[in-house]
Amino acid sequence: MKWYASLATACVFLAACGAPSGDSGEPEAAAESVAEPTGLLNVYSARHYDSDKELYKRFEDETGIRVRFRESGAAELLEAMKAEGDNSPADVIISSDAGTLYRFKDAGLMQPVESELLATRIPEHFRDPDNHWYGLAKRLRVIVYDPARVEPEQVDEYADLASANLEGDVCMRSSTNIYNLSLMGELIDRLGKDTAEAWARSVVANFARPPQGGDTGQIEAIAAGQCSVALVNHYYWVRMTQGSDAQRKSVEKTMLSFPQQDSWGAHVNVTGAGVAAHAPHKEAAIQFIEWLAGEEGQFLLTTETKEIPLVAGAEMPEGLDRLPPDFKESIFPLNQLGENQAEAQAIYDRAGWN
Amino acid sequence: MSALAAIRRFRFRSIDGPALLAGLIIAVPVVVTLFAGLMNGGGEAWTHIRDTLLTGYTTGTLGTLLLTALMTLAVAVPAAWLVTMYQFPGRGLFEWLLILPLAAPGYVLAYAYADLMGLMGPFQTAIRDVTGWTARDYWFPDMRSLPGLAFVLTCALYPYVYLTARAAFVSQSVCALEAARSLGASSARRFWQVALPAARPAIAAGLALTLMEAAADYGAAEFLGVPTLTFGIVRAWQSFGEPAAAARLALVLVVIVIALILTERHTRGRAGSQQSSTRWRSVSRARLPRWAGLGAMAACALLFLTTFVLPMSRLVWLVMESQDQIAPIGRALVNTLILAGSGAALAFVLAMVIALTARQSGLIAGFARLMASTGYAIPGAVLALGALLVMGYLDITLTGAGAIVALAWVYASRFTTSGAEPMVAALGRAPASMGYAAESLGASPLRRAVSVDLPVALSGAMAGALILFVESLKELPATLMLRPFNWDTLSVRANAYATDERLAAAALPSLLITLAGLLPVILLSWRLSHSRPGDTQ
Amino acid sequence: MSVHLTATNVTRRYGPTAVVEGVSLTLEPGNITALLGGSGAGKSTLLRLFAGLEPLDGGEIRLGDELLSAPGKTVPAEKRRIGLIFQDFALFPHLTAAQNVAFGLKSRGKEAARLLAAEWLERLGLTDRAGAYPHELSGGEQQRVAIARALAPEPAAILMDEPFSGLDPALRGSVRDTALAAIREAGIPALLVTHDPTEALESADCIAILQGGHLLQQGEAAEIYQRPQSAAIAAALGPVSRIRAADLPTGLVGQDVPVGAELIVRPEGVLQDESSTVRASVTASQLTGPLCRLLLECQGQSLTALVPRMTAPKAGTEIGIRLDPTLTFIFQSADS
Repeated sequence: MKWYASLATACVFLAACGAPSGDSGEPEAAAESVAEPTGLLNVYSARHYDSDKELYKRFEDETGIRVRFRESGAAELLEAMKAEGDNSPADVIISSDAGTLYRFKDAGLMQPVESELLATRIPEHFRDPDNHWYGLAKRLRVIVYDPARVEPEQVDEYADLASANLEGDVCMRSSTNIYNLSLMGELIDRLGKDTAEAWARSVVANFARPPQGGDTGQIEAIAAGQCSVALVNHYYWVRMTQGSDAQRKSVEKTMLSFPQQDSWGAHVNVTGAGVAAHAPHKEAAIQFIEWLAGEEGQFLLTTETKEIPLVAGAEMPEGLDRLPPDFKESIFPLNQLGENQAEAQAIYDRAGWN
Repeated sequence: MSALAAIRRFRFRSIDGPALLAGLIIAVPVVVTLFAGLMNGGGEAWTHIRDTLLTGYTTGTLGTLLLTALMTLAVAVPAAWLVTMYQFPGRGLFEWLLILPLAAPGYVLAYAYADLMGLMGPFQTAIRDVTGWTARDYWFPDMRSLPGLAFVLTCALYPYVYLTARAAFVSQSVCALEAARSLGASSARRFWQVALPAARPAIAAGLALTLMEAAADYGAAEFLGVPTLTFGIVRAWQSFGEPAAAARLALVLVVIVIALILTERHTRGRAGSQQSSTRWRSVSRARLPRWAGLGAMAACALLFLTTFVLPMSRLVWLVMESQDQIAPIGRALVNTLILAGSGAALAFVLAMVIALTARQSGLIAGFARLMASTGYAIPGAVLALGALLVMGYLDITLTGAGAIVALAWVYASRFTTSGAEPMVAALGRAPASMGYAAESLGASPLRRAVSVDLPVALSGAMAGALILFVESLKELPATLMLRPFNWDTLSVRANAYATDERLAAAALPSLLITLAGLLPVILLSWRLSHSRPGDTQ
Repeated sequence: MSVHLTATNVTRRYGPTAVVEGVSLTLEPGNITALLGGSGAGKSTLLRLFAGLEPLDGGEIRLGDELLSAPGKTVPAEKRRIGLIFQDFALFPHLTAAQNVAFGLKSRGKEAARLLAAEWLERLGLTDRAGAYPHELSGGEQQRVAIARALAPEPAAILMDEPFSGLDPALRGSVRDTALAAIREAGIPALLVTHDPTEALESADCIAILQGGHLLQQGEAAEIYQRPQSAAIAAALGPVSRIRAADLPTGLVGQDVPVGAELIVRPEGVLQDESSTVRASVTASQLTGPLCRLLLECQGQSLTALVPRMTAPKAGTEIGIRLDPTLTFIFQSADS
């Protein structure tokens, strides 16, 4: 039996199709509109937004550097880059979580970048102390609540979610979600492991339903009256104010509370980028990250996502005016989020927060 | 013949080489996983999983299996009885329509049902709009729960039991039922005390299949947020990056699967199974009285609507309604064709070897068959883990050719049996004496296989190839774990969009998967309706 | 007490074709009636009509005075108290022999059913097989269990559909004797559907011959064998040699045979008689056990004879023959 025939077939497939396949979304456009590409840039991105494709294209148009991108889950990008080793085509790594950026750095997959421009534009606490990665847009994990059932004072701290008077009122998404892991990563350092775990247990005791759905789902659950409070990233709420009729109807029944305004401030995380350790196009990579910190980059990075630009004076995306005009945000060494991630998951697991 | 005697009499024959190779290829992933699970400590991650999550995973899996089993039996057996024994409006149509849900994998139904029955789905929204209540003022079944998962899996998998029960009822000795009548047994007693016990081994076999598939499910459990062992395996590998811990979990899952198989064997017990009657007579279906007939029709219609029409319409509606949110899937389609195609190609060759050696009894052929059916019982996540471990030992990365070969290997390891089945059936239709004739003419077993059996088996090959391709295409957890970087398939995309809460985007690949899944199901129902002994209707 | 099971002018159609047409048949208590016919003759259908497994389109079926079947009215099988025995035995595979026999005894209560079942198994010599499952029983044992099961509830009649044809020929005789003895003892009407004339003759008290859905003749077995009313009936009951009147060898038959008639003779009716002037050459001589079958040629006509082995002539010899008048029939030929 020619059993090996199928293996051979597989290899043929591979030869035909196995070459790096994450071509630019519009390869023809890249090939034709830029008559003479002066360079090439391979982006590994853990974000999935249509606006990013627009962003790459604008960068191409302005610089003549052709962008090829791969979008995938952060963990998979990490595994892929480890596997590719020295031969990795990756130039720039983009992730929407500082903890993940730290893991790339920790795995030796990034290299330090000295950039005047970035150093001046990006506040210090939003970038890696060793300059391996730079934050570019920020987000806040805040409390969303039903004003008909809950007073604002009842939910002005994360600790309030664990309060006995919210029993049966709390909706949460799964603890495996990076936003919840990231928050716990900060709480571990702020409160200590034991207190953080006690908090998680009390929150679990307050659950109106087992963890499920995404951030939007939590807002909808509050609007539908299933629960009264939840944790969400601010931008999900903002996006819903500009969403479908049903979404607008839901979101207008809820309000946001920015926690810890009298103490350390609301939990912040960033979308950031770094240069790959073996970047074949290091110059272009730095150019790209600097461009992202520029006026146009900041706008394109946040206009669809409703994240908050990090560079002072950058144009705010539409709809952010629904947030309070000023609020206190937590200043916290973001690499800790990555270091604490496994511990955070362990705490949630022990607390029974699925 | 005792195993020992078989070993003593064993001679290596020309046909044994390919069979041995096929058996080994199929066996390696599961053997490696089990070995790793037994030998490695499992690391720190395992300690954590064991102390905090293992109980939840295990009860999740067992609870899901139990509930799925109960619901499947409650639905599938009466449905099979109804369409086999009674005449009512639409019976002929429902007889095969009720198989169609087999086309949609559990995760696809999970997406559709979570959306339909969710807080913002049409039903709950309507309740709140009409009554002015809030979600706290009424009870509504929660799909994102263990019963919800069992419901979804029942919808997707009940046809296995429906098929085997129906086959048992059709082929049961009609005479036994008539004998029971002549002994004064009422129709209820005939069902409970004659037909059902006689069909029990067949029903148990169908149920075992259902539960193996349920235990293998990853997508639905993950999406509905029910912690199960399969979910735990993927997670242990994905978020803890700890294959050894995942292998430990796999061990628990394999123990459960083996328990399932043993239970199924046990139900056969000493009591004889179906005596195949030598004389066929069409089941003279009792015509149900008007209202009972309409009731039977309504019950079948309800079953079909619930398990197939309703969820699929929701997906179609999602695609139509929110076209702007639909992501392009051309690339995923190509990836799917290549990956599932490679898997199907490898599995096809192995299935052919299994099918050809199935007729030549022997130790090695038996080993190959056993390995193939073992592979089918083992969840894809476990096999994928085995492949990952092998790749780890060999230092092959998940980026290039290695990953495609590994994935094709896992597909083959899991699905070869299902592809071999139609070929074995085709061979079964040719008289065994044909093979003996060839051997008496001096043909070696290998030559007999190639020149006599192969052409016969090819008539079943189309069906086998189709089944292999579609099964590979529907597979989710192994594909998720093993696909080469940037090689998202339809199932992976559907899963990614769904977990991203972009259901409209998930709907299109989900529908395509279901559409592909319909092909072998329709083939199956066609074969079914054309090979029914003695039934002229 | 036991009463007749009577079919009167019974008709059953499948679509436009009548499978059974205008059949009247009375089954006497204590008698075994063989229903004999080739495949497609309507035997099984008639049995199913008696059993209540199918509705009839004309006529009626009564058990004593009780109306069981008429067009538009069918007392269901489970209410008829008519036992059934099938060719494939139709034992319940998931029940032991004893449980099979006890199945129809539900109304008697558990303990009574158990005892009665044991009694029936004993009567059929199956006591030590009581705990065995059907697949663990031999064919003959299965058949006896099926008979015990059918008889145990004391049915008003018993119907058997080719009950012995699935058995090994070596076993068939002894199983049949045991079975039929038990049935006769029950003293109820019994119908034995068979395609085998030997079986019909050996087992039955009465024989009814069915062909093409019509009842050709019914009567006592010996009577019908010796006095068939047509060539077809004669042929249905066993091998015959047929010769048209015109071709009749001279001197073979004493009486006048009308022109256009046909002579039918059974093989055992062709006797070797060296005093006869009618000579026949032996073309073949086949041993069939105690008897020897001779293929004869007599003035261009073929005849078959059965003679004792000891006296059988060899092939190629010439012998004198005469016919036994009681085994020779002359019919106006209908089919020539």
